[in-house]
Amino acid sequence: MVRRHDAMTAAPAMMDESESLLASIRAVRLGDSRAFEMIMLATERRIATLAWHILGDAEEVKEALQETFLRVFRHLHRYDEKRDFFGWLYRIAVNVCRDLDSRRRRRRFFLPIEHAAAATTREVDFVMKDDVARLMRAIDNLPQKERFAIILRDIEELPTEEVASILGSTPATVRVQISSARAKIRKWMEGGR
Amino acid sequence: MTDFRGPLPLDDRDFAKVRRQVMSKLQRRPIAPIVFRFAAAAVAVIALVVVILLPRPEPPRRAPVRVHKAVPSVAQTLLSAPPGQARVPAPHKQQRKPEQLVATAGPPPDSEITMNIQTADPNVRIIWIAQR
Repeated sequence: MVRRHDAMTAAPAMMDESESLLASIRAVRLGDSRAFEMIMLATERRIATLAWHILGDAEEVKEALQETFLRVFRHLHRYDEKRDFFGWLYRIAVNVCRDLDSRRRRRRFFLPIEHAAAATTREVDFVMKDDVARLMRAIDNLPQKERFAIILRDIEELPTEEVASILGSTPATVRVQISSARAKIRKWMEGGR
Repeated sequence: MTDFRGPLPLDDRDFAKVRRQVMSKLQRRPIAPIVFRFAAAAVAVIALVVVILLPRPEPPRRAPVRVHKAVPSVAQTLLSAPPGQARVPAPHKQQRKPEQLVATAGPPPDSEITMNIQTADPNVRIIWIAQR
């Protein structure tokens, strides 16, 4: 299996893409903010897909995308060209998604009790439709760290070391989190919860 | 498992809209910090000028310290009395140490007299405060 992440540096077409991306990054650093549009065009789908996998809400994905690009622009001078740009970008996107996710959970916590009950009923009905929905529900119910680890490793198919770097953790911790997450998902899928 | 949420629900128009919003925010962004920097600098300069030019209030002058003469003690009074006069001690007056009589800027401490008069009724007491 060729990982998307590895494929970027392997294929010649991707090399061109990464070179043009680097040229855009340098142009933005020199003050050409229009070149930032090229960076957005080259990366937006990947970031949006990651945000979609984490957040699962179209409006929040747009919000995450916008905030990620604003942060990228603000901190682009800190980016080390020797390192993988997408790894750096993913780290920012994951942090943005984490903030949005925490905000959403807080909002849900403070939801009036009758609204919360109605929302839960609707969600349960939806979950019971098929296995994919059940899987989605299982992933959404994982603790945030485990959820992010499994999304980056099993869904985004990033290497464990990369996942650890993005999450600011160690590969060993990520392996433990993924193992725990898989066990919980299996239990959920078997109808244990 | 990679498609557990289904396809990405954003189309080209959504992406274009996000790009537009980001670019408009980026173009607005550089103006604001410059304005804020100028405003902050102006406020700092004004504050500095006000601090330098504003006359400082002088510290309040203290009134000259009046030193009262020490009240002669009972023994001194008795000794200095003429021989024919009965050496009856003066009515009891609270003895003060000379240093207690050194007054500061305020009025002398013994300018008031307080008298406690206990009546026949133990629940009634008259407290009489008078100026000397």
